[in-house]
Amino acid sequence: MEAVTDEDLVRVLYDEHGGPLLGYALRLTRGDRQHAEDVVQETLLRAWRHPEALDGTRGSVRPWLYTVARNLVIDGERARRARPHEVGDEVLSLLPSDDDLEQVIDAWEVADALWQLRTEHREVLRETYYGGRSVAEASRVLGIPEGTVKSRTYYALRALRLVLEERGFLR
Amino acid sequence: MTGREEYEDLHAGCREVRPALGAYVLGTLEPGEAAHVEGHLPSCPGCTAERDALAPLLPLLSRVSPDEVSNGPVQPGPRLLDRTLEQLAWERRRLRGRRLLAAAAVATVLVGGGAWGASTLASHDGGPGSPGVAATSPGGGRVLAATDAQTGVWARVRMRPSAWGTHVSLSLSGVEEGERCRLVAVARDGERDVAASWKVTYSGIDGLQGGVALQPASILRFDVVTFGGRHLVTVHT
Repeated sequence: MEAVTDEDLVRVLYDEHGGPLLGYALRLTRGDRQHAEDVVQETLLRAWRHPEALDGTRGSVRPWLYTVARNLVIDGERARRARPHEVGDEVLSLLPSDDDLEQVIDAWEVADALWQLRTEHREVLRETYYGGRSVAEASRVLGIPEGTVKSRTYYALRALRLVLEERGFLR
Repeated sequence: MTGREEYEDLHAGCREVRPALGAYVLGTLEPGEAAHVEGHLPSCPGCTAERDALAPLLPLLSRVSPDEVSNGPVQPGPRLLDRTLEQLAWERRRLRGRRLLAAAAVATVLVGGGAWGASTLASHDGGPGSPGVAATSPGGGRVLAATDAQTGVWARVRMRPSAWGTHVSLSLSGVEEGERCRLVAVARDGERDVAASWKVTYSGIDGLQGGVALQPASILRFDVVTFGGRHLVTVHT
């Protein structure tokens, strides 16, 4: 067995899960970057303190990390709630429930998959779906024929599906 | 994605509908054209299957923010890794330190026993306070406590690393009511930074919150001093 140093372990976890974990923490903290980074740091350190959690199949590590991150955020909110002037009850109720966990995991992966698409494919999705523009409006904004907006939308979705399939998020 | 030639094997109706299926699924098609697609689907298993393959993408896309579409998924910078590794090194030092403290505690009991022994040992070191006693706390961070042999003042400091430096929480007893004090963090390089100041109330000081820009690892000790400059107690990290 090769000796793996503590630093190596943290670096590997950071490389493999740092992005999704930060994305998840940002959603949990509603965009508070500093708080989210603190959560990521503490989550990785807890993984180091609990190497037993990292045993098992590779796929099981991330849900463990997400659960730790989520508990850290919830504990933080509870602690703040105990001090009356900081936050109200509504904050706890805004935290994603367990049911939402899978959804939040997917969000970062989908964003990453979108970023694998060719620029002209991502562009039509940005203008139409995310920008709320019709095919005709997007055609004017992008300076391409309406038929091209449509076919690029089609190919963008097919490419996206392929990327997500390759990564095991869609069957 | 084989491109245009793919359509040439399709029936005329499909050639028209197939490339519009993406916009159809996303709901960005003009109403008239969407109706046309809907008219075609029931009679065409091929286009229906394609629609069914693309439809699951819609709920996935809805979870991504427009900002992520424009700028890519959020990526942690090297700074976050650096400070995580820094904290890791600090915790490893602390674990080592704890083992040494355990050994020191055994030695103290053998020499003189209990707290008296500890303060006696400390005064031999020339320091005004007893050695800091460190422990991890359930809330995370590091808890240190000390009692000064001369003044009898007891202080407990909880340090938590933060992105901006060190979060400090102080509890204090043995100081006269009305005394105004400061908690001063002294760095290894000699830098001093006031973490908090307060006036002692009848009920004492418990959980007073403060902070310094220094990283936990660079803090050598905390001094509690009065505004008049009198030293009350030192807590070593």
